[in-house]
Amino acid sequence: MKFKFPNELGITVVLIIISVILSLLSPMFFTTSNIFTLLLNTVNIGLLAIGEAFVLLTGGIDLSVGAVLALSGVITAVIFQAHFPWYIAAITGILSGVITGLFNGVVIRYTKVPPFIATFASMGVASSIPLIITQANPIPIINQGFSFVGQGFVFKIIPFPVIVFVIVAILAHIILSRTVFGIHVYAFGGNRESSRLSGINTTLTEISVYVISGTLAGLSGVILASRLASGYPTAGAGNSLFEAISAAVVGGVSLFGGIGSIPGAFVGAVIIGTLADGMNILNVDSYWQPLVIGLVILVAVTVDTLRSVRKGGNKFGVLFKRKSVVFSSTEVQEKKTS
Amino acid sequence: MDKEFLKVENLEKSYGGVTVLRDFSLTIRPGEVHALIGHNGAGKSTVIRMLSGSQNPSSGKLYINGSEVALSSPRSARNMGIYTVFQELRLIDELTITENFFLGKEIRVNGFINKREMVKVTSEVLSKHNLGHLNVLEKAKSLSHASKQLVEIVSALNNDAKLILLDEPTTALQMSEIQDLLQTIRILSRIGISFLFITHKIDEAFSVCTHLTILRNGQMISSSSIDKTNRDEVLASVAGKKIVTVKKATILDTMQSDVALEVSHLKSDVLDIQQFKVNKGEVIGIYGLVGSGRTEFLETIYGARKYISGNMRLNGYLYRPKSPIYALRHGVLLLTEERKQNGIIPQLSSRINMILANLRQFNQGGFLQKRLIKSKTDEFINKLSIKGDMEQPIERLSGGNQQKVLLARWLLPEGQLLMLDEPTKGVDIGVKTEIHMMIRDLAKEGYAVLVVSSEVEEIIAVSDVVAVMNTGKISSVLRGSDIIEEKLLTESMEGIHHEV
Repeated sequence: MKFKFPNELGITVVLIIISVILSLLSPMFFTTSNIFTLLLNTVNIGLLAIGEAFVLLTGGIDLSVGAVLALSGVITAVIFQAHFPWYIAAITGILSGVITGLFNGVVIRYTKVPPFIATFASMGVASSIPLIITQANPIPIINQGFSFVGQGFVFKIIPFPVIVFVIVAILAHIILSRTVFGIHVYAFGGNRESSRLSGINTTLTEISVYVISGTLAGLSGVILASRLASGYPTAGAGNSLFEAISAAVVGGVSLFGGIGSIPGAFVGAVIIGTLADGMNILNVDSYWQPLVIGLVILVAVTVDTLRSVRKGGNKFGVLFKRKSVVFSSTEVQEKKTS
Repeated sequence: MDKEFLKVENLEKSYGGVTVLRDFSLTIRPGEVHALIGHNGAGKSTVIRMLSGSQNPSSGKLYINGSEVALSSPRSARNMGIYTVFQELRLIDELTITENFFLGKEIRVNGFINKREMVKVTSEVLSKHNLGHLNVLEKAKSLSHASKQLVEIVSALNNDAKLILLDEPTTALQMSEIQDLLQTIRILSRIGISFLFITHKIDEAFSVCTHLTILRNGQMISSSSIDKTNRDEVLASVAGKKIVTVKKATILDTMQSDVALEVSHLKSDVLDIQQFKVNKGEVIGIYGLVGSGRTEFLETIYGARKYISGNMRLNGYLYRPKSPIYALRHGVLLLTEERKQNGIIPQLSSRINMILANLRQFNQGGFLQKRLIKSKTDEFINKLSIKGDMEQPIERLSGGNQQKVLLARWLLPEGQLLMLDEPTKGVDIGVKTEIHMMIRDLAKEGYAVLVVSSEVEEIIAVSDVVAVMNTGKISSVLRGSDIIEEKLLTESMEGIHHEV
């Protein structure tokens, strides 16, 4: 039995290289407190990336996660302001993500609207609602219990959100690699028609991944609201969505479905977090930061792709093959029905 | 007119050690219409693929106008005047007839397209070939299949085609459309255009062709001018003179056993099945040409395809297959024909592919039992002697091994009706026999089995009863000693030329 390197190895090596370079450039980088700050700053994108990974694995995409981030924070704040206990408020916030996800999944499944369009629409809706409710003013949440969610520490050193992030990642990994549902997700993304003909409940599978994505975006929004001690209606408006998608893709999750893993998406998110953190330490002009992140992502993904192509694993080639197969099978179907 | 246009000598093609065509020679002169006849898998498509330049022969020589050439790509074949009209037509639906007509060869003036000129030329050429009634500014999608085909042939002519290859051009056509097409071929052959016409239908060949070449199992059986042969001779050559009767000695006494599935008055867009019945412990072979509805029939029983009306009973109980999930729950299983399109999940490992239809069996407390998966799949890997790394994505296995994994997928769940669509596609001969024996054994265990196959030998080897299908109907049912190669071939073909 020969030892097989996991597919995530390549991208982990990239992470290590970036870390080594940063710690050479600044003695501040490789300190315990900075590492935890870095991870803390990764939590929001990381949770979105894990949810996004589920959706991408089925060959879909969820553009609404950034908007849900704001929606969930504001809903939490509004419910809290209505004198409900903070945990009820937080759960309601997460629930707003669940509902958005459910809406996405049902629309995509039953109307056959492409995921890009359907979730683009719900992105618009979900990002408007907080603005309408708050008239663009942040709503404060002052509560000790609630502030622990985003600001608390365990053992005085580990930020609580980091623990949540790691637990979610482990759970997601177990679900995808060890359960029937996980295999259904991969199978559905790999070949829809084969999955259907193998008796897989493809409706349930497809809707579920959007619900998972929405739920994690909701959770992420609650954590962010706690860190900011308020519901910010413009919280997810920036780069959250694109950073989440690129985190997953950098981590080896294919945009065409069927390929990728949670450890990959996790490492991808940490890479993006590390870059942002490192540049802050090095005092890189904030106008330059997105440029650097963009270029590093491009290089990392290119290297990884070339590596797997040479290995014969050819992840993108495979995908194109699969795409053409799907195309021709629908063509056959059309021919048969016409 | 006597000079030969195309001469092919000793063409041979093999895929990974399997020779699918050997020693194929043919000479085509201007104005000749050649028919290429043979059963499924005889090598007709291989010939077309090589002459159209989409595949290179393993060995052999090609001459055009006396000089040796290599048809290395579809483009080079076209430059030499060889055009191919495939079953899947090439016209782009969203472009107009004119745009399709000039695709890749647009008339340009200073880099801009001269639309007026193109429209003019297109309508001139079309009306010259009796297609003047078509509006050249209309999109191709508004045309019927038959008109599209004619437009494709005519646009080939406009590009100086000398030889046109037609791959089963009449399968998707109505009767009157077939006559139009044949008439066009006759007219064009008079002005020196040659045709190579692949067909299943002997009547068509006799009505339009000047020469006839017969293939069987990759071998050229005969090639002669049409007036030196006759229909019976052709039929005999297609079927092969030696009829192998590998019929097993034990024909089960199926008369008294229970009915597993009963289908009556099943109607769908392509099917019209009056009465069909399969007993427990019985293997029914379903034979028919491509497009006869055999695959659709299985898919309908499996719930993967909608039907309009009809009645099905499974073990006497009403059975309404509305989805594959429903079918699986009732123990109705289907091994699909198109391995790549609707069989494998390419990126998943072979083991996971094998258990895909039966994941619940390996689920305990929400988790998959890896050890159980391994032991269970190992059992089938040994039984079917599947070779390759089972942990790797299945797409890295050879086609034959992929097929065995898929076969195992449907042997794993508990079932009562097992439907196999081309179960031995791409599998080597030794294993083929093993699979045939396995099918017999499964029947003995009580499975009712439906086997669709294009291979007559396979149908003969496994079936107790054979249903011959034709244009969505079951045209005849053969039992016991009636199941011989000759009968299958004539039944499946003759059914078709009733219509011509």
